[in-house]
Amino acid sequence: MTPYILQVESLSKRFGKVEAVVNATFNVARGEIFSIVGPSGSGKTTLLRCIGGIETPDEGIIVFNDRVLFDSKRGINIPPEARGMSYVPQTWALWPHMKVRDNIAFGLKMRGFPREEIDVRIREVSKALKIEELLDRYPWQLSGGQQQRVAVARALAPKPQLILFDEPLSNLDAALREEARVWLKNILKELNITALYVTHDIHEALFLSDRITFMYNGRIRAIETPENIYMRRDIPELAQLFGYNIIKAKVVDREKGLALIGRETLITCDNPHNVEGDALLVFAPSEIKIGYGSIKAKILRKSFVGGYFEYSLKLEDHVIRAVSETPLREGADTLIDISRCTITKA
Amino acid sequence: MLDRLIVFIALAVASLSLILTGLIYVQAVNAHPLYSYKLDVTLDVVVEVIGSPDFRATLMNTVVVAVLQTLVGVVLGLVIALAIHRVDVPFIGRFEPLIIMPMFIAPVIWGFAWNYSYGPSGFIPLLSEFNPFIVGVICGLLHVPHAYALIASGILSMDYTLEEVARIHGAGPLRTLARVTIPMLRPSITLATVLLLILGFEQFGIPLVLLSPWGYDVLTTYLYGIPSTYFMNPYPRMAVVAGTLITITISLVILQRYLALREIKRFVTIGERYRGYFKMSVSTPVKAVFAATTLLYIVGVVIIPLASLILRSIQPLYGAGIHEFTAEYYLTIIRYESYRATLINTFIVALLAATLGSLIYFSYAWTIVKSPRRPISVYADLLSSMPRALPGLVAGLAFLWFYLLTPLRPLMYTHLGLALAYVIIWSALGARLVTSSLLQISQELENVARIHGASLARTIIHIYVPLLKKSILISWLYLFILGIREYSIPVYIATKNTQVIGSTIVLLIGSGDLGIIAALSTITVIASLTLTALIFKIGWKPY
Repeated sequence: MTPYILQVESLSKRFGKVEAVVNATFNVARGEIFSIVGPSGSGKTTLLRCIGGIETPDEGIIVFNDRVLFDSKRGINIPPEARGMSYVPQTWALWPHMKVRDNIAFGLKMRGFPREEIDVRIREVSKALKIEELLDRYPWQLSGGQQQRVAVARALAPKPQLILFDEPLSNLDAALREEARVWLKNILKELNITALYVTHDIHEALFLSDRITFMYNGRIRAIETPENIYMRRDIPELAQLFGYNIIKAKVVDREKGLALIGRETLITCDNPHNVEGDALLVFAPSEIKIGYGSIKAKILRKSFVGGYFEYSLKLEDHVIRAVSETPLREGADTLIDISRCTITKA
Repeated sequence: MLDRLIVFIALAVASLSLILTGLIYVQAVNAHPLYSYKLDVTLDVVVEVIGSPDFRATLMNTVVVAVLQTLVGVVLGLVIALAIHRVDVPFIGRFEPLIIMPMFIAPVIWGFAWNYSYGPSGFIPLLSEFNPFIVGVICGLLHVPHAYALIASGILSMDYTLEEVARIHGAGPLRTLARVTIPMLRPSITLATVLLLILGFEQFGIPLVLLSPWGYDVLTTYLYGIPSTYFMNPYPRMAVVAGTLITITISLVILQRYLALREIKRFVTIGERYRGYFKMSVSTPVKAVFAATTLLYIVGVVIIPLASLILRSIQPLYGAGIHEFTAEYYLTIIRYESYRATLINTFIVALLAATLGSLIYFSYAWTIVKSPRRPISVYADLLSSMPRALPGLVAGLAFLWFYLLTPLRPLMYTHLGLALAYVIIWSALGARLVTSSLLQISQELENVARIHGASLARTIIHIYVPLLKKSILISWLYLFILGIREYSIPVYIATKNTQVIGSTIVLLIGSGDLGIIAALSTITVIASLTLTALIFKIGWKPY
């Protein structure tokens, strides 16, 4: 027996000429919250749907709980209902003709649970999610936050080995989303349920996950813990999700880590690299010191965002983002310093 | 297992419409009747028919009727759709069922209704004769509902903020209508135009009643008349005429599909439905014009002809003014076994067709919308518009040959055989009806059910059926009404034991038994109207 509950090997899925998922390989450990992050169109939802059995991959192997669910070479493709998973989609998809109670009971009934057991499970799960009052209401009588809780309750009720989440918080407003992250993580961890969690919000993934995989253009580019993925500045598309500044430069001295931005701005980068010629520089807005330093810049725009200012700066031909507590005048020339800058291939 | 059965049904229906079309073309170039199993390929009949002056005159008449029907139908349909859905004419929306109603009554009955009302011997003899131009206009008036439904749907799915912006930017109501609303409706107007052209070429009932007695033919009536002129082996000749007709209609259906796809891409703002939130405030004279057009339509095109039909069914003498009343025709219908059987057959066949149709169209639509195998869904989808190009009369003829050629022959003599023909021939409409209902249900509702352990059958039973309850009932009723209304399909395939009201009326035309025709028509009209009122009450909308 492997320590992994889900193993995906070389999974690919095409839609016509579009390669939605290319050669995806990863394992998910029992009890792990495993997130798939990427911009829209990166293939993350398709990958999730392949695992749930809603889409049929073109190639690859999916093993769940030591049982082969899909194997393109052996012609195995277990239908979704026989995979033993639960699912919380982005829209929550509560069946509008069923009361909350019946929505939650559905998976239990389909899997042949006896009536007494179903009642017990409904009680347990509705208590855990604080929705006992809502059991006799219809979905359209619920607020967004309540609907989301019911969708999670419905997924938890059969005590599945794996829950598939497809951006389940993206339809909530900011405050509710923050709150939902906390209780969702708590309940998944308390019940030791494995979750495969698709989101485009990297901060949500950082908060919730044990491990995060970053997908781009159908390919898995990184699988890391939240701490480590934040350090992966070598993938510009990932860096963009974190809001890093990414600008074009030319490496002029590889030994000293010197790069030229535009015509005259020289910058020293600290990471060991073997990039020559055209390159990309990656640095966080918080890594820019404004008001002193050796690099000339111009303040284009200043916005107060609570506690500090967010600045748009013109550096040669580039516009970069910086944050500072110091108020400075819009339109003024200033000096800046970039405390940490990573160089990567263009 | 179930998904295979569903796909099988869909493919069978799709392929059958292809086979029916193929049979017509094969018969057109075969010197022997198809059911003789002899093949002797020749173009002689094709050349002879197409070269004859009769045929050319017929083709010309058909074009006149189709083009006039389209012009009149689309323009009036647009005006009435704007009156009901965009301009603030008070209370006019309540008359919508009366505008839609002509759809639910067979054209052959409309032919009689117009003859009894405005014909030379009618109650209000406005028309001294009938010719292709007059009949084209009448056909256009009676096909307003088809154009109306498409255009109204366009209006309702249009983002009304487009018009609001025009108003705020300085355009008056009429300019907004002319410069924003109507141009934005171009996709639905184009589709309505092509649809009405197709229906114009297919028109059988109205020309049969109003044109044939005056010595004019259109392609359908010409086809219908062939067996009485050519007793010996009329089939190749009939197939050439039918083939010409479906070549035109198939081209138009392909055009319709192409335009639909192209226009949808162009008018990207058309998306979500913003039903009925916006009415344009116009001046009183403009309101009056819209209101008068709509009311005139209802009274002149619908109420007076139908009232004349009913009046005719209780008049002992025709053309002599209203002096006496009689129930004789109705009593005759009740007295005679064959008429009674016709009423019962109509009911049974409509019942079977509605039920069988609901099941088959569900499979068909499911395959189009949901089949994971793209070639299958594309095949079903492409062929789903095929029957649209088969006029009822031609399709009935093709079905006759199909039954005669295959082991299904015994079915031909049963109610089920007739109902099956209805279902296959209506499948373009049926598939669309169910497809739109299926598309209303988010795919995720099904996905969650499947992942939570429900098989396809249980997903259909627990999720789709309860959610679509009302749509299923409405579709069933709609098909049932179509079943009562059908007159052209059974012309060739109804046998002695399965004759229905529609085909009986067509057969009676030669006999001149006008009182019985009026009484049978009145019975159908009353049944259709009752059911139409019911379907509206339940919440059916023509768009």
